[in-house]
Amino acid sequence: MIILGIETSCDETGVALYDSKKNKILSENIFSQAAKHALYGGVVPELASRDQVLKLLPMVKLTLSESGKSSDQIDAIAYTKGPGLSGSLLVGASFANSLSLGWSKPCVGVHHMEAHLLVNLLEERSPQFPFLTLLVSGGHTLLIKALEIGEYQVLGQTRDDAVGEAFDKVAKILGMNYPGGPEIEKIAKKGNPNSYNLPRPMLNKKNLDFSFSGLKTAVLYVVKKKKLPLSKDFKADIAASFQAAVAETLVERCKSALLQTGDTQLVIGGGVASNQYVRKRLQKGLQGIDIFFPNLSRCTDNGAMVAVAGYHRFNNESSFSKSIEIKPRWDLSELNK
Amino acid sequence: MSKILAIETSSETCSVAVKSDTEINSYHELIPQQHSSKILDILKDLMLKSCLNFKDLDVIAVGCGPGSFTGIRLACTLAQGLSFSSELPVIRVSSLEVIAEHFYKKHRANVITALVNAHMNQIYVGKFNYKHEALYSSYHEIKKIEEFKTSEFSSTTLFAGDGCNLVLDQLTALGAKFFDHHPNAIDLLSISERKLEEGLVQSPEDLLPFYVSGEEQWKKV
Repeated sequence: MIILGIETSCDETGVALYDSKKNKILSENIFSQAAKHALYGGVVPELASRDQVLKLLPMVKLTLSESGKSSDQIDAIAYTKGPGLSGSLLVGASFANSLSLGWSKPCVGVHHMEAHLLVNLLEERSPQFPFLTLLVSGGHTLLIKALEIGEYQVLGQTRDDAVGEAFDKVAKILGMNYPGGPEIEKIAKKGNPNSYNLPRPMLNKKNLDFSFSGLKTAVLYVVKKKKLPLSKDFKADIAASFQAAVAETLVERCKSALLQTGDTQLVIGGGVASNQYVRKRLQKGLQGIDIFFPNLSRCTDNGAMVAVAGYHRFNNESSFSKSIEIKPRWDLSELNK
Repeated sequence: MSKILAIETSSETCSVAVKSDTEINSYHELIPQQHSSKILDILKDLMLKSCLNFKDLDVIAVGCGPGSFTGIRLACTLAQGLSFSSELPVIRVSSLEVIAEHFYKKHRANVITALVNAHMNQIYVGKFNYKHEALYSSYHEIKKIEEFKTSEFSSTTLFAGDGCNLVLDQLTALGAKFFDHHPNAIDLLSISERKLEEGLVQSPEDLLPFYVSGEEQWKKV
């Protein structure tokens, strides 16, 4: 089966063509609007939707031409149905459905987080069900037990800010640009992670939930005591300490979850999974556990993950859509059969 | 004879029309916030009634706004996808011109101003002048309601659109005719027939929403 995957849930336009027989992405393109939103210090939903309309068709054309496939060789279309920003989601949904009408090919809407989880199936070394998943991005922080495709148990999630959101907010406090993740990671390399004793939120609690807003506030209080302008050394030290607190929290939560479920495989996904320091801390802190990281370019939102998830969804619910459906709020466990 | 699909979803009325060699089939209903959930069925139904496949069409015409941001993005992306997949050209028309067209045909009015509620205390204003059986000039802008003044209009101007209700007192004082009205895809059809004759078609990449308001209203935080 050859599937066209379209991802437009937030500020990235991702398009990919997936060949399920070869389990290979034939071509893919991602356009990130980050530079546009950097001017505003975060994603502006209306502007994100406007850019999606501008970019989607040219990216679909480019991806098709790079793959060397013609439209009649495509078997189906998959798009992100949710969760995400409603305006951005609607652009991908209506475009995918109109291709489906015009080409007379089936179309399926996939769950964005399931797509992040399943993208690891593209790697040469891929996990076997069941496994534990940690999804960490600007919009989500989730610990999930994946029993099989379409069967997920949410074990823990954030009670306030998502991890990536905390990175963005701390970067803003330190006067750095959006998106904050790469900025913090870069400057933290020059800092000492033990220079400030920041809280490890929720670690004393028995459940598997997360909370990052207190950690962000703790950074704010340290910064408030400093004279402006903040020195480079200070920024490096506080960024390194913050990153270490996040990493330790993630490691400890994964440890507890693995202990609870008895899983030996851990799949990491989402934009924060591209942070090399976090990757190293997870690998070091969870010895004996088989950890799977997606290819760096597939940590952030992309069309490849949607195409792969679409393929697996087709086995369950192949159909021509009756209506253009989006679900801006959509719990992963609602997918369960 | 040309075969045209016209999509106009910039207002709370979902309006779609299909013109075949022999007839026009259309849908025009007030269905606030249900456009995206119903439009696929509406499209399929009208094409079926017209005995047409998308590939049989000559062109797809779209009311690109201004109007509801969600509505105009829906119309544009749907038409982009249909046009690309069926290899059809498109015609991009202002939704305010679609309103004016209705009263130009129906009332033979030559000076028409379309007023559409832009929300957040603003109003879209589209001025259209017709001469020698054709649109002679047009002007689009977005205004704060309190900045809308009738002194720049003559009493022979015909006002139309759901924005009339926002400036009711001023229109009444001017003594002008005004009509509450949502753009109709049948009027979009007649505009596109003329444009098609003149060869004024575009490729789907050019089919972008017409917001009138730019990005400047999103202030830096």
